[in-house]
Amino acid sequence: MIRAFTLCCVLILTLVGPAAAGTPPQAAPKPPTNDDCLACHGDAGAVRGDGRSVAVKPEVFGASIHGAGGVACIDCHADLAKAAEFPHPEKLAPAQCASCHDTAVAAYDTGVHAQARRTSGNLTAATCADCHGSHDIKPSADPDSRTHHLRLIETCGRCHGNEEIIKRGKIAIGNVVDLFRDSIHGKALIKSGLSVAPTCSDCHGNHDIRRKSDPTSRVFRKSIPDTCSKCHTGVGRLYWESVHGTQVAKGSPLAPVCTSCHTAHDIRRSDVEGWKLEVIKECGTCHEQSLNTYRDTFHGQVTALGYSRVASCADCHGSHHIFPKADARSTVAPANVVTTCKKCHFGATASFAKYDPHGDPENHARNPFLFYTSKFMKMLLFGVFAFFGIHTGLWFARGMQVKTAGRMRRRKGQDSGEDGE
Amino acid sequence: MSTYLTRFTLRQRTEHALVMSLFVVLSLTGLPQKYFDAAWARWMIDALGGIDRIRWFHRAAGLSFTAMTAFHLMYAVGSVATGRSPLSIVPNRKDFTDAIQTLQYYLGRVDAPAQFDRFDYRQKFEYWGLVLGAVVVISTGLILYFPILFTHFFPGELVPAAKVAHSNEGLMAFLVVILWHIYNAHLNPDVFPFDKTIFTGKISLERMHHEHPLELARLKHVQDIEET
Repeated sequence: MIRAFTLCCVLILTLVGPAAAGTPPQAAPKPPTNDDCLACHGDAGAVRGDGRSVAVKPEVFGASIHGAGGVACIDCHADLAKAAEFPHPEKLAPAQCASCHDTAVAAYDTGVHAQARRTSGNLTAATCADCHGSHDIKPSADPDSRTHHLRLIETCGRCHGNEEIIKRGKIAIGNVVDLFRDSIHGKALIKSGLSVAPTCSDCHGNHDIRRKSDPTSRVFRKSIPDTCSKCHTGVGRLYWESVHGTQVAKGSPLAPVCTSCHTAHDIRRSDVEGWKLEVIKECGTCHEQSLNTYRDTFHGQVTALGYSRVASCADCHGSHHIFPKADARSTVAPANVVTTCKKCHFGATASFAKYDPHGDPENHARNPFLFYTSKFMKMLLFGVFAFFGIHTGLWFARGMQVKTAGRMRRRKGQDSGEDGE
Repeated sequence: MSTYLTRFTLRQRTEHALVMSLFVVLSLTGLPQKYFDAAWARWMIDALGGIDRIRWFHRAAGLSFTAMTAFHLMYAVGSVATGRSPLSIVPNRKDFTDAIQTLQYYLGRVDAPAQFDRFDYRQKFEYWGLVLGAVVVISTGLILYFPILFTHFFPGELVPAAKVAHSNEGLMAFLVVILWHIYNAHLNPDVFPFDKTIFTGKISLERMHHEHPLELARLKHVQDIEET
């Protein structure tokens, strides 16, 4: 291999040599053309001193956006324009994408990948070529491009779906690509090939991907509803009106945004049983007391057993358009609650709707009748068992005592009989 | 050979057998609903075919129990009205003094327990416990079965209270049967291992002497038992 490369270089020198000899020595060397470069690098066996390939397939470069657009090798490998000797030194300056793509590179420089390389010297973080390729770059509209909408998931997945790189690069969020593949968005993208389904860059951006902790990030907590609303426009409007949306807008660090309930990468259809049941727990992370009292009711018990046929949080409270009970727009406001019950209990009346779906036997102020019923039943249970327990214990003790005494008497009788013989 | 007396009629024995079977079904299908969170409850619900089927069985058994209780109470009212009931199950002042005397006997303070008539105070306690318990579980069970119907007449606050009462009363009935009734009918040294009277309807004269001497005396007064 090395020999082949050396041979190739010698050949180039013999070809270029006479021309170089004919020019005055003080003039700048003529920059190499693409053909000059490919004379060596076009050989599939071209390698560096350490054996790594430096081959460039002429047909691949020719089909790339740069090759087709007539971009010269030295436009990116700028330091070679001034090189006087070939073969040139192995160590070159990195290809300068910024010389043309200055906006994209400026955006990249503000992003998490550049930041990781800069601040923590994390060289696993992606550069231009990691996502776009090098000599084979195609425009992202091309279905074969690494950055095509339907293929981006694979490209990001080379790192974010690779356990070893995740570990090495200390990517805190872990293997999100695997989660995304199983999500409703992932399936729409991969299985159904839907170009309207979002891929990584639709939420995270492309060159200026920022950390979620960065207030300028598209996935910063407060910005998430707007990011999702780019597609889910109607839901976004409802959400911003809701009690959760208004709290988030006011800067509440607790009120949920889209991902709090739907997760970020593992988003599932909201009409499947598993999701309907699991989201109850999500509501319960903040509304702990309500979850506890709900679990005490028939509805809560049935959903806890894994059946979603009965009411869960969203069935009564709504999902994106949730309001406090005192708000007239709320589905559980006094004026609307009968209609809400009627969704399942067709014959529901105002009196029926007085049923408290979060009845708490310990809460005297809220549920006095339930409170006293529960207290009474507990006292009754305790009283009956105190009486039964004591009574039965004593009865048993005395019964055994009488039985043992009887047996002793009989044995005594037998013993004395034997003595008599 | 012991002499046997007839203690329970065929109707009474049938009622007991029915209550017993329904009680088993109601406990098996009711307790897992109360303790839905526990692993054993999950296992039972799955084993019995899921929550919908369990609820169906519980309601079918509950309605049967309701019908049986209604029959029992109507029969009782009818017997009392026509004067054919001896009212021997009705608690009276003697039951109270009997209880005190018997407890003193258990404690070793007096030499003999109280002498009982046809039903001792424990049996009356158990019977009335069952009747009152039945009234509670049946009424609250029906409220839970038909919440819309009942809230036409009562406020919706009744429904969660009915659930608490139903579930607690059910648990109490279960524990009473497991601890108290099993003791009375099986573990009690007088009858161990098994008091068959409620199934055969027969009771031995020895047991009558021992457990219901006053009734025996009354019966002797009416007809000469020893002769028969």
